[in-house]
Amino acid sequence: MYAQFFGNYLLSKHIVTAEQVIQAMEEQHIRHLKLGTLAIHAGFMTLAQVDNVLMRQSQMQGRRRFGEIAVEAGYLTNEQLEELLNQQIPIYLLIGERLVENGALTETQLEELILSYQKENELLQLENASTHQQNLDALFRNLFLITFSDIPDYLVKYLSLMFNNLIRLIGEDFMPLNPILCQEYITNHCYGQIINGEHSLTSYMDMEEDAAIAFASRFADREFKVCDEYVQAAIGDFLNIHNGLFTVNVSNEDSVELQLNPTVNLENTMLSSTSNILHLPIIYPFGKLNILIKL
Amino acid sequence: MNLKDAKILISDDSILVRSQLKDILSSMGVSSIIEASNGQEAVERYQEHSPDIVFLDIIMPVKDGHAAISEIKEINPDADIVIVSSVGTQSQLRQAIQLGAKDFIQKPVNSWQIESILNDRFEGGA
Repeated sequence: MYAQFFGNYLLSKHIVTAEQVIQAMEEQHIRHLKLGTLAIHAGFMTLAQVDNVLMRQSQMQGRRRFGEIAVEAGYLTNEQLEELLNQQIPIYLLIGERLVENGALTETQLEELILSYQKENELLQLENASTHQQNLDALFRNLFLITFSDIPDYLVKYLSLMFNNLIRLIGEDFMPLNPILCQEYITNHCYGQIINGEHSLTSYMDMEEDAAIAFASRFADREFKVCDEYVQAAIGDFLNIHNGLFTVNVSNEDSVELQLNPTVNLENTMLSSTSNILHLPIIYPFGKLNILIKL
Repeated sequence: MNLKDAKILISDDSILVRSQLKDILSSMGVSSIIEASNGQEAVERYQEHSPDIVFLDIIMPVKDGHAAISEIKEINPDADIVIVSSVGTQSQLRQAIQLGAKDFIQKPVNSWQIESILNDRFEGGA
């Protein structure tokens, strides 16, 4: 899931456009990763050392491998090299490499961005299953830091599940923009659902017509051409499935029982709240989804 | 009973879920499909058509699935009701089973879940 957050990070630095990141996300799966980028990510080599190895490699006209030169120069041990070759590659590094290839970033910019991304998000570097969850929690908290200094645990859980459900039911080629707080919001094609209980919240999913048609087509695995009642229903069904799974998870993990109300169609409606509405925009290649949450 | 002769009631407030269920049932050869978009309609359609099996959502407007199960069971204590819901908490399942539901399907609906339920009950399924 890191790809979505790294994309958001790059956008927040105003270095690349949303289109460039989305394109890189679509293309990244076919790419392999350069070892130097991986060595920096693992903390085994510095930027200067990688540059030095790349320079030597180019002097040798690429006849020798990066790893061999780095070991020979004493920058990497054989064990470290083996570890790098064996470890699972974080997906956001693949996206970064793709952006370099597409000319959106230079190699140096990418290396600096990876270091600052890890540092700002306090990512633990060599991951296993438990650090993976810690890394994700940190990324969620940092994504919301601007709008929420102390985001409740259940909301982190809610949004983390939302991202998983988007990946599972719509596709992984999305990127969250920075969340905003508002008190009023005018909907386009929108469904809402109230969750009652210890973690009460009302969530909404809203999108413009073209995005709604594409969203529904992916969700229902059907080709919709017009924004009809089936397309509208798909928005409500996604929200209902997500909220249902959230209710099940909270019941199983925290023994908290929540009650779901039926989804409600809120097309062209003014949503308002005396307290704040959290608005999380999510970009897909087909358009923008707006997740809105009233606590 | 052969599946092709079965009368099936589907009740869900989403027109898309009803359409997906209808597609799955039609592809299995079912021709007699009755629809309801809330719990109240489900009870009324049950009364009118006496279907062989009911696929019923729980969270619906007007009358929810739990209330609908109770009323359908009053009409026919042997009614065969399968819950199709996004909320599969243990307490929800317990309540549905206590009221008389016989099976549960977690949304999103997959054709193999429906096929498995129908193949257990009818002959000649796909």
